[in-house]
Amino acid sequence: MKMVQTGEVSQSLYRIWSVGLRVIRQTKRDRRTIVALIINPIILMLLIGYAFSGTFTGINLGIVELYSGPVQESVVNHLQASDTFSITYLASESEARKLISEGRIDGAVVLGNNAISLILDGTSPQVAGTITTVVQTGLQAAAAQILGSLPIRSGLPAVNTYYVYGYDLEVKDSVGPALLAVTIFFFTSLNTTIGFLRERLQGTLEKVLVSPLDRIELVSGYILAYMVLSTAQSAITFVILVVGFKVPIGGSLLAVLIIVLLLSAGSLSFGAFLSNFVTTEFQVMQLNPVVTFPQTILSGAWVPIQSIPGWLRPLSYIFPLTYACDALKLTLLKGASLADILYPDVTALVIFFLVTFFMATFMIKKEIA
Amino acid sequence: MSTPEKAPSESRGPRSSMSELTQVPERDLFAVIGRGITKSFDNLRVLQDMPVNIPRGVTYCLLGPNGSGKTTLMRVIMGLVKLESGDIYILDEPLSRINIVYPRLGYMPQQRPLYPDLTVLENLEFYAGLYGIRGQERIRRIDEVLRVVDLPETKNRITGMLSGGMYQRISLACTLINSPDLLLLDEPTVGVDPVTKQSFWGYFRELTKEGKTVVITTHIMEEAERCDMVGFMRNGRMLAESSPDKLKEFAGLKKQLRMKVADPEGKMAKLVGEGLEVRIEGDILFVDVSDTSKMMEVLDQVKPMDFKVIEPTLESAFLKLAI
Repeated sequence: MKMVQTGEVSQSLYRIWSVGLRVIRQTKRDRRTIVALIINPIILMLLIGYAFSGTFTGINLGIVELYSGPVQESVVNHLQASDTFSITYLASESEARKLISEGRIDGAVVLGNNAISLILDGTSPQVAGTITTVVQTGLQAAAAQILGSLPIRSGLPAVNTYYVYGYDLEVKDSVGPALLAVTIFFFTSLNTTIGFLRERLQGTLEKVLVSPLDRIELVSGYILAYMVLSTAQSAITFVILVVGFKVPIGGSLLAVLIIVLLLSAGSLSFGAFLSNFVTTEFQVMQLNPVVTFPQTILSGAWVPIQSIPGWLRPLSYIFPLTYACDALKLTLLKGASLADILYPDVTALVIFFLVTFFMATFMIKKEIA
Repeated sequence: MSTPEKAPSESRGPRSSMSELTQVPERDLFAVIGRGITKSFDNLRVLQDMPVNIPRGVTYCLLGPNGSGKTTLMRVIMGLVKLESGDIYILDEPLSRINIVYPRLGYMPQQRPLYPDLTVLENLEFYAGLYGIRGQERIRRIDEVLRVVDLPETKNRITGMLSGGMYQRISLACTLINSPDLLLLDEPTVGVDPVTKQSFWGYFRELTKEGKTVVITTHIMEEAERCDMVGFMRNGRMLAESSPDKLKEFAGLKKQLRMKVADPEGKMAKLVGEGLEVRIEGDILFVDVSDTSKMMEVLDQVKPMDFKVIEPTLESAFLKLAI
């Protein structure tokens, strides 16, 4: 009895392998897809990295008042007047650094007698830029108001900027990891929707369903193939990030791989599920933006979630891409380990995969006509 | 004239019941046997209380005009379409257990069943894989099916680049990869040149000789004529199921005598007076005769200058039944 079961499992695995191999062979033969796989992340990284800057609300800012003079007062007033920030007063600079590294605040302003220190989170350059700008404006305002009335022209305190990760990241660098997630999501879901649609339009799906292969094995075969493809794509993006843009890579590569594989399996099942609602490739092109654009825009990949209006933010937290982007940023840029991102990111991706996998296998309709 | 009530008794489907088919003692002699098959799509009855009887080891043709439900019936048999009501046994297994029959089925859908961007070999390897055929056995099976369809040299060609006839032959090869006991081929000869068509019939004969059952759908008369059995469908009903000859008989078609005579009008009046069906074209009379003795009788009486016996065609049966 046990022998029979082992035999059945190996037969089942062999069928899954057959489907996976076939999908990879098909992709291999499609040169345009191969090129898209390599070129897309590069183009996206360059374009989006440079093109985006947003208006922010809800940046969590810490203020450490070591010295309280008129100039410092003016800066604080300015920070408070701006509705961009939600401000927390902190006791010391070390506490500020600690909170930033834990991701609980986005930056801190330390007001000393002769110097003002900006401690910024290097992984969110746009947030860092906003903080810097507001502090500078505050200083200039203070200068205009009070400089003339000061008895001694002691000058303004110097502004020193410190990045907590010791690296002055450019926008494109921090967007890079998120773009990896976006590209995988896009590429995998779009290709699978079209792949399954083609199988349906050709007689191949029908022929395959009248064979010992069941629906779970079919979707699993696709997942196997796209895991290979997504890993290859991630490796390419990785090399571009490290060699091309000189982004320092911290964190565990295993964690990165797990995120990539989970995201790709989920996106694949999602794409297979979507293919049930389309009858032509033209419709895929129409449906795809509706489904994927909101995700990509609200995922925190292009612009930090802090810059997304509050009423839209719940959507961000529903989309799986948000968690993938967050997880990749944390691992690649902040050196987070798998344990650090287990909740909510990895958990969310596992749920995403399970739900879509169920829907995809459940929905492969036998009734095609 | 042709309502289902007129169908031969052997294929008339009384209301289905599970007990009826379980009681059929020779059920295992049929590759497919069904009763009361009913299916609707969006309130449109596609199959209406239909019987089907496909004996093992024959070529069986589902014949009918477009939209008569041939493809739907085929897909019902394979469990691709959920049955509304009715009872079917496939290779002696009830439809509910169709999954265990799949390894023994070979299906060639009407739409293109091959991956156009793969080579012929890759397509064959894929389908072999689905049936768990691997290693040396896979190589052997692939060679074998390619030999059956006479295309061993196409192995490394991209499937999408093949001509229509070659494509259909490779589709058939893929369908044969698991040596199925029951082949279901949906319009296998569409877009196939006459030479390939001819060879298909050769393959089918070979397969039935091995005891396999070949079911095809078609709306082409000559193809149906070549099958051992024809199931004649119209508007989702099985009008008749029998050999092509019997079907002609059932349509009430008789042999026709074509006679050139000297006095057509006079002869015609005489024959009509005897209750025969006569048609006239110039000096030629067409007379329907039920059997050989009647034919001799008419010839004796008319003494034509020249005559010819016209056998009824399945097409005329088809037209007569379809009206």
